[in-house]
Amino acid sequence: MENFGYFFMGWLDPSLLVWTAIGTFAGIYIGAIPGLSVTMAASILISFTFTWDVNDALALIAGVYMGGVYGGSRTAILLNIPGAPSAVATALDGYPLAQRGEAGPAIGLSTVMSVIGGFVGIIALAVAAPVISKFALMFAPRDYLLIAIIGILLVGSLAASSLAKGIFAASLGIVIGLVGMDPMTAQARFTFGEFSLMGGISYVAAMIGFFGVAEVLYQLRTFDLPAIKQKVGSVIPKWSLIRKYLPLSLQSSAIGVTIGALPGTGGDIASLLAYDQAKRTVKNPSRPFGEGAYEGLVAPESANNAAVGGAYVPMLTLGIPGDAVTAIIIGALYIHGLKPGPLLMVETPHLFWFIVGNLVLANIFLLIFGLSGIKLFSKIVELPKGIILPLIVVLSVVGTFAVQNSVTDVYWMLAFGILGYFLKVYGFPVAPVILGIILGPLMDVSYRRAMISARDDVMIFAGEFFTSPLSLILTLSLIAIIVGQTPLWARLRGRKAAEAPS
Amino acid sequence: MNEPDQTGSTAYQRAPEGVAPGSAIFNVLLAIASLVLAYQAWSIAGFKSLSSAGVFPMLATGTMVLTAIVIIAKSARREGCGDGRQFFGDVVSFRIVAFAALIIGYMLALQPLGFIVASYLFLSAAMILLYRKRFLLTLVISAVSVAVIYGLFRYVFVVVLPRGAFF
Repeated sequence: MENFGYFFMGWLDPSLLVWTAIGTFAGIYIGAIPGLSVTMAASILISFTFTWDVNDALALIAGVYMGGVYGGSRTAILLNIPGAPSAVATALDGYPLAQRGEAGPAIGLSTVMSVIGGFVGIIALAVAAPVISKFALMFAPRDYLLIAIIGILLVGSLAASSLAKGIFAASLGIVIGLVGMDPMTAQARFTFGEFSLMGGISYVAAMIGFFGVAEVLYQLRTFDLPAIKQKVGSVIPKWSLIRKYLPLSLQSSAIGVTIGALPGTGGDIASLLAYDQAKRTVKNPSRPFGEGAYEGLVAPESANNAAVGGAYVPMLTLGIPGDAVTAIIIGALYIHGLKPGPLLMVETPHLFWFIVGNLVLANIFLLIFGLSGIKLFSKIVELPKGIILPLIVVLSVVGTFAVQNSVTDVYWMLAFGILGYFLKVYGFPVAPVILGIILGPLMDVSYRRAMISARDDVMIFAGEFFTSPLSLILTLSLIAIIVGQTPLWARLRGRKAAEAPS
Repeated sequence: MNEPDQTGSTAYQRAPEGVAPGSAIFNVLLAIASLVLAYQAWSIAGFKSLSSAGVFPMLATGTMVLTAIVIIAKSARREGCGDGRQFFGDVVSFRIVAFAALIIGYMLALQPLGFIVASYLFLSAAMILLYRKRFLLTLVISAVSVAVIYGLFRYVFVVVLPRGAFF
């Protein structure tokens, strides 16, 4: 507990305080501007900040993460364009509210609910992570393998329009992650005889390519949409309104934390599920859902910020990312010489409390910036894409170059950018690719350790999945997820729903 | 060629499947690439042992091949995009090709010309291509942006930038 003092480290050090504030502020705008995403910003930022002290870098990225998840809601409400994937559900009721002239209260309410959700997520992180990390020391290699497979399946099935495309994207990521010299036998894998590939492909190049350049090219396809202007009144919400929706907010936050903590799934899925849940359970909404119900704003906005804290849990305890942004933060930790996993909290417990304290700080800044500066906001969002997109390219190119002073990395970045563009156009999700890149090497090593300890005997190997209690639970959840995806299950559920009309 | 289409305003929502023209060819290309990678994976260690360096790569590439086949089969059943949009013009429009060419030129120019000159040229050209309004203004915006980015990188992020013959 003596490490708890590090909780306030970010509060007392002026430079950390400033970086968190700048990060949160920038995050709100990055999240709000359609075409700029938190994942893009985080992947470019790790390349800029790799020379920094690790604390400064983490403070900045935590701020951007917190602010960005919230920022998307503003454009969703004002323009009906979700600024970030996690704000898709917010637009459903937020934009109708703006059309009724209630944009101000809508923004205010979603700010406060985001902050409440954020705090629920952080509390869950502070309570659950130390427990899970003690427990995680007992995890066997096969358990890591199972968790990683579950994460990839969840992202594939929930995030993508088609399961096959999601799994294809994840497998592609795994292969990209495996390129280079095998750490156990020093054999070359997927190097095509090229010596320069022996060291592997820089994951920063892949991340910036898939989230930076690919997104820029994708934006060019939908370039000519006119900007819409909205008038916004006071954004400070009424206290009675907050109190009224507090129970729903807490309930949605619980969904958000859980989805966030599941490996791979983050705020985008959490907000959609929370919206759906609210739609089914709220008896008398302020207006029908889809026509400007405050409930339809509260649920997704609480959930997506709660997912932030949740997503840190598997990242800090198991080294398995909770979503795409935490996958990038894992990359940042590697660059700074830290190894995320169960030993992270044993060897560097101060880092954990520093991160928790920093997230709290970012959340407080979110409340301040979220309820002010609305005039400046409408100016920035109206910046023409013709100016923003070339700037992102410059940042992407230079960011990629900076990590290893390597032009080869820049070529890889562009190649991944073009590949990512086509994947996006043809309906393949990009987030599973990044997850695969981070998880691929971990899965490979876990699989082989498990197989070696079973002395290459398939029966012993398979048997172990059912004999240890933890592995059994994980195996059963994996089977449940797979069965839930089969047509048979869908038909069974369809019949049940037909029998009991709600 | 650039009418605001349905996917435009909801760029982040799930893209409808099989809408973009050329999807069938792309899926086949992915399948072929997966087969090549699967062969590569097999050539690492073959089927020698269950814990060799090649087993997991074979599992991953095998999954790629299988899912690619499933994707092809599914899209074949649905057939065609039907709304008459063309591959060139929609997926690969003049603007996208020109912009990608500018990025490639920028990358190649980065080392010989250095960060400042290359970035300025790229930004001006790209903004003229995309913004198409107020020619002089774009030149000024490019200059200011390069100055701000250079200052940020050099003094805040302390990152080494490529230097050219002049700067």
